[in-house]
Amino acid sequence: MVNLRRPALMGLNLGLISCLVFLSLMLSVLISPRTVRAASSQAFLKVGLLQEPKTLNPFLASSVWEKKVLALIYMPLYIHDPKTLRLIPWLAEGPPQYSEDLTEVTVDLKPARWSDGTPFTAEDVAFTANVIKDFNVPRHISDWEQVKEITVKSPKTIVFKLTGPMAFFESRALTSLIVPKRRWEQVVAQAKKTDNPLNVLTSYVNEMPVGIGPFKLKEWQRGGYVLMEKNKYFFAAGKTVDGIKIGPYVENILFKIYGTNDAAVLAVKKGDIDFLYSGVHPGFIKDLKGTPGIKTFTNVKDGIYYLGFNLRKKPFSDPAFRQAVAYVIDKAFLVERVLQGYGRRLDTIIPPANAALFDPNTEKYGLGMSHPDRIKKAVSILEAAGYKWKVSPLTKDGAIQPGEGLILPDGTPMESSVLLCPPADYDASRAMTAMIVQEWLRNFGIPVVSRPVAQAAMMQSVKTERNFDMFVFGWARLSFDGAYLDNFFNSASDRKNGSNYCGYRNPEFDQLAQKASSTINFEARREILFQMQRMIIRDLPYIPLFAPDESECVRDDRFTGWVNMPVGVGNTWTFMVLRPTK
Amino acid sequence: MELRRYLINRTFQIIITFFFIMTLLFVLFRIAPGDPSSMIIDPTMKPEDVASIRQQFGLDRPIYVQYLIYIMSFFKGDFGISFYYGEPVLNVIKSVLPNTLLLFTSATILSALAGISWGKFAAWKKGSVSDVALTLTGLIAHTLFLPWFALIMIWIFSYKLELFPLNGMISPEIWLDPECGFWSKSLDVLYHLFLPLLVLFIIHFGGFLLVMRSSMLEVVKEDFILTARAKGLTDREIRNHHAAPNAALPVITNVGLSLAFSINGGALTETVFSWPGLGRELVNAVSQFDYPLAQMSFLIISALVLVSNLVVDVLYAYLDPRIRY
Repeated sequence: MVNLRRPALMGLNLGLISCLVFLSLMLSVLISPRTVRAASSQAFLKVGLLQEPKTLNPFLASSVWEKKVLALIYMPLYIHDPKTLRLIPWLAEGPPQYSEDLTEVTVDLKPARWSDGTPFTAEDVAFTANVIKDFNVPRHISDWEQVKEITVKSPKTIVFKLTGPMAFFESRALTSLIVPKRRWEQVVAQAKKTDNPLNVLTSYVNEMPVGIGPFKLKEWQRGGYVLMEKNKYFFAAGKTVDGIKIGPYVENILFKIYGTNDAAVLAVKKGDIDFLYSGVHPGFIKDLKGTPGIKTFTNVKDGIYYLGFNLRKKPFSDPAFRQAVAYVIDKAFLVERVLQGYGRRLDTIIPPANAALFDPNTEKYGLGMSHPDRIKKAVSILEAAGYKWKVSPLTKDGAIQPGEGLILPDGTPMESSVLLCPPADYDASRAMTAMIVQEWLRNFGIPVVSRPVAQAAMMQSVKTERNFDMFVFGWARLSFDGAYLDNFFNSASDRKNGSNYCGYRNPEFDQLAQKASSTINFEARREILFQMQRMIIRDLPYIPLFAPDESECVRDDRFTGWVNMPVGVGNTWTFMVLRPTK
Repeated sequence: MELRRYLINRTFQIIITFFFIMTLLFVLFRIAPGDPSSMIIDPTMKPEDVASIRQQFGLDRPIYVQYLIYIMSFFKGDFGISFYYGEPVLNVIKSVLPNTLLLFTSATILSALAGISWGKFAAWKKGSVSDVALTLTGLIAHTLFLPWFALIMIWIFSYKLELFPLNGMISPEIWLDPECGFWSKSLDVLYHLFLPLLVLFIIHFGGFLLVMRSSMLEVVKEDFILTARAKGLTDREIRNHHAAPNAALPVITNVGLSLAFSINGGALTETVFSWPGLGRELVNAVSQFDYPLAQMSFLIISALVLVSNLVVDVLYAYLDPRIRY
């Protein structure tokens, strides 16, 4: 017999002990529900975030969650009007004044104070811009790279000297957030003394930011919540802008963190939060609409989903091939099945949410055509370009059949290609779209396999190595100036890590892009951007697929005045005008 | 003397293994496709921005230089700055580790206690209704899909019955109330702890129960149990003082390793319950290519697993005289 040394432990009823622990835990909680639940009625505007902000250093912040909080603390010179989306003066006093040659821009500033009571001056604006330029701060530098020189003419007047006339200067540089010089100059000076100044600047822990927005940080309990309080020095308080009387009318905003969309939606239903600062899955909408006290808002997302081709490879380099694929794809089906009807087909690369620049008159491949008609059209395009099939998708009497073995105009059979997409757990709609497109193309005789890969691996292939065939991708929160058209399709961006993933090269397009970026007049620029959209839809380096809707839910029994912009109710205006119902 | 030599040998082995793990971690993160810049998908970003980000994080240097910096910094006690928090890695880990330990270590200990006790009981009553019920419950609990089960529990207990909070570790309303003192805040943490703890307990106790039961069934066939019976000892004495201590040895290994692994929490549990722990940070760090944070988190887990292995081995020798080093 083995004589073990701790027999006594085994004599105890361990199961009973663990049950007792649970019971005592439960008892301790249940006997004091008042303490735990009483305070939940405190008058905060409670907002749910799906991730906690990682930093409040504006030079490091990269995720939407940080930006949502920072947008209430730091402000730009100009902001978007909630109705028209046109830029209106914010910290600036009046519109920017251009010199005759359009290379010098003077901006007058409003009298305003930072949240510590110190005055806001042109020095703050110049300081922010110079830090970004001197440190080459990623994610910000592209906003300021066309600014050659910044001169502070007076505490309330600043002059920007540009490298040339620049249409996007206003929508980029003048909408950048400004930081207080007094607060940051020491950090910057210390960073400059080190070997890696950028790293030191971005590693600065901005514990209690001094801002100029409607709210300031009161407390941040890591892993728990972020509490903001009204900024008593907020310069726009009580003023009327574009017919809207600005508050803020709530004393505090409490950001609470929810790990999943499901839990956050339950929290809205239960009344634990008043607003979920994120889209709600379409599956919840019907249920939420029937819940008293909850209001839902649905807008077309300011984003696009598309199928991209690698134009550096055959047969994707052939416009006829891309046009045929565009006819094969049934966008209405994708909207119905993938988005459950919450979205709309897209026939251009500026989303309909950007009403001012969205061109409704681009070519609409296959719209209103039946499935056989679309296939017949696609076959005729490819046959005219010299393609053949081992088994054609059309029988001799014109009926549709599964095609097989596309043969390129040079007589070689098309090799199997890969359609990259993110995995379903990252973006179910893109994964599903890729699978459906794969089936359509296979039935058309194009050998293709959809391959879900991790987002990083996909970006490595598409953005860095550029060795892909096709990919399903999406852009969200696109800027309202349409400047991204240049980034996406300009020949100069067709290089490693550039944004021209497809390798589209068209000197005519490049010239138009150049012209758009130097055309200050909005109407004239819009016409150029329309031409650019039509050119892209003609050449189809991207096949735009759909623009999904984004639904949001709020408690309108507790707060009223939600400002529904084309980007949704989650915007700075909402937080400035929202009022408690009681 | 022998034990001391064994300990010295094992410590030496642990140091070598740890160094190997450090290197392996460094290599694994670098050979994965992408880097911190590949997760920043912004149409305005230019190749120069990508180069700037790589330079900012020191990723533009040759790989062997990065490796040397990594090793030397580690031995100097400098564990780096998190790419995404912009804060020292140790600060980030220190802020979430206690939360993970509170939830997962408590869950492991409680489920082990219950699993051992109920496994012992089930084996002793083999074939009885209690045995069938306990074994079946253990099997079902062991095979439950955690995220689904957790969501169902939240739906029932938090949403429908409103007994517990939906998620998180604290109620901001309590913590912000100046009238709420230490007692209220502690109670609030317990209030949030209960449901995730219960879910983890249900998921984990089954494993311990099944191991203990099968180990006990082997032990009760041994001659020394027969001898104990022949000596006229009571059933209770034989079960608790002779059979169970012997049967518990494999369970101890299980518990030791579970405790060590409990530090990495469970990304799924922490996500579903929005529990601010290391597991969720670890997953975020890996998916966002936050090399310093991910490497350090894995190194802490590795170190704990190595040390707990050693502790379990030594404990074996202490508990079972047949085992000598």
